[in-house]
Amino acid sequence: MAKAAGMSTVNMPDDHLDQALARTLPVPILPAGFRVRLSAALARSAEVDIATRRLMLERERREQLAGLQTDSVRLRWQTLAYLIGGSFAAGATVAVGVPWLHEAFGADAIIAVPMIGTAAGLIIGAASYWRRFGAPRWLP
Amino acid sequence: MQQPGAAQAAQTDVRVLELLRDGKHAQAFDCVLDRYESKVYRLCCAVLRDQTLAQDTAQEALLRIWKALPRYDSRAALSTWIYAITRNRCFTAIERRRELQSLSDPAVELEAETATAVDARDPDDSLGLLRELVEALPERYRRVLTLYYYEERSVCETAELLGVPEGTVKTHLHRARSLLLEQLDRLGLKDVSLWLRRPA
Repeated sequence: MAKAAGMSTVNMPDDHLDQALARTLPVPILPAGFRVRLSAALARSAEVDIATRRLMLERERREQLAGLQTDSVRLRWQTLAYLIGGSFAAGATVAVGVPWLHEAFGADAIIAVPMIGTAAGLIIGAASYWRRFGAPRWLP
Repeated sequence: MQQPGAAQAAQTDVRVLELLRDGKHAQAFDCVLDRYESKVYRLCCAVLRDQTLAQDTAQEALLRIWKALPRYDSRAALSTWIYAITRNRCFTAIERRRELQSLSDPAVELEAETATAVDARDPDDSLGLLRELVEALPERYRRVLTLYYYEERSVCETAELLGVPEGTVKTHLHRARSLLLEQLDRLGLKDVSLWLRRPA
């Protein structure tokens, strides 16, 4: 209320105060060299960014390498397991299959079946080679 | 009708967005600098009342803007986004300053200094006196009043810079003027010709 009473007693045209305030509060001008300093600060920040990015990439690479290493070890164990399993399976097949072939088809079957298997293996191998590397150079 | 400043700001927004979409961040930032650099500095000056600190804070704000520009998604107007970042940097700077001066309250100190200076003021130095009276205004009124004159008496620009409604700016301007007139009246300086006679 006191403020309101105070205001009501003032008898001063507002435009005069306005002009006085405009003189009192001049627009601050951007200091010379501001842009240069800003550019320098931006460059410094970019350097920091590059360093940060490098650290991130190095960490990422380390993680990738660790992942590859783990996968490789897992693959080696898997291969070993397949080899052992395959050998046992082959041994079992021979132990059971050869006497059965002998009884069912006679002595010639024992020779014929492995030959057919060998031929099939050679065909599959040759086809794979052809598909992957193309025709061998020594072929006409 | 759209004001020329607003139209220019809208054009800048569109241009910056186009450049960002094309991945030309440096050019987009140049565009931002051309349009907003001075405004950011003026906002810092008005809020911080210290030109050196305002320079540093404006630089920090523009650095933030540069880093965040690729993520600008145009949900808010570019000017609103830029002023919000600037205001946040200013408030951080105020906090930092307050921490440094934790033993004494700067507002109280400033008020005491102003009161002493006003009392000891040469009566002929009316503009200086008015400046000190402005400094002694409550912070929210002082900010609005200062920016209003920095922005060539544009209520709209002042409101946008401070992130407040135009009505609030008008109310604060009215109250600031009333307080100033009341103070001048109390000091017996009713003669306005005192201010207008002397060069700034």
